[in-house]
Amino acid sequence: VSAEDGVRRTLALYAQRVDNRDPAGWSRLFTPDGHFVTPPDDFGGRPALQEFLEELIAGWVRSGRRTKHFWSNAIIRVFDDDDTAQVRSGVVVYEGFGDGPWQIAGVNEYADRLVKSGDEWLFAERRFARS
Amino acid sequence: MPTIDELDEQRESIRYTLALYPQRLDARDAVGWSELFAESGTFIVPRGHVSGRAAIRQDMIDEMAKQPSNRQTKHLSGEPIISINGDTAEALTDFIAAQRFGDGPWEILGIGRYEDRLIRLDGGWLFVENRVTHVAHEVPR
Repeated sequence: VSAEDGVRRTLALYAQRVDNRDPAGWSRLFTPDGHFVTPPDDFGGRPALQEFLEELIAGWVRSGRRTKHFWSNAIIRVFDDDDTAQVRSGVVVYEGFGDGPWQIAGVNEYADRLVKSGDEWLFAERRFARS
Repeated sequence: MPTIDELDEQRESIRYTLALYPQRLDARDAVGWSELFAESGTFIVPRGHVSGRAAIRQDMIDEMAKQPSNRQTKHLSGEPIISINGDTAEALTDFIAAQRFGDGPWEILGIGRYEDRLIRLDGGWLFVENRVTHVAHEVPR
């Protein structure tokens, strides 16, 4: 897998694992000390990341919320000398409640730093850039 | 072992098949769409299973005939997660389907995931199984 394809795969897995409601699998897309930054919050380390998503999903279950995250327009820069990559990408989040219709919940942009770990590309940092 | 370049080439070829699928559906090209399936391929949707390319083609012709002639659809796919194993592959791809009637507003028709198994035949990739799940029908827990 080329570096760019490896990074794209991680971006796709990130979206699918959120929508699959798989907090543990989602947290494993980060390095062990990786960060998810949504100012003013900064969640660091896989246990804290997993707990963050578990709490979020518990709220979705209570409200009957379903989601689909669609990532697109990823601009990927790979730095071969140290096996790192930077990504700037957009996401459209769709949501629905109960049997209600789908609607657009938000349109956001993220700035990422990834590092290669074995065959995988993992997030060292995923930072909410703007909505 | 295939080289990275060979795998990238196959991945690109699979992406091509995955991209043709929604384009032919939206063009109401049931014949062209069915040709993306292997002869013994299976199409699985919440309303049922259809096996064999000829049956899949007829099923889609029948489905399209039920729709008003002024209905337009657009299926948009997310980044696929592709796993290749020799001449077979699996792909998981999220999608959003929108529709409108005449000049009316676009509305979100459905959101879900394609769970596909493909096979390489004559240099191209065809669906052995195309399973369509809708989030509204199967909310993950």
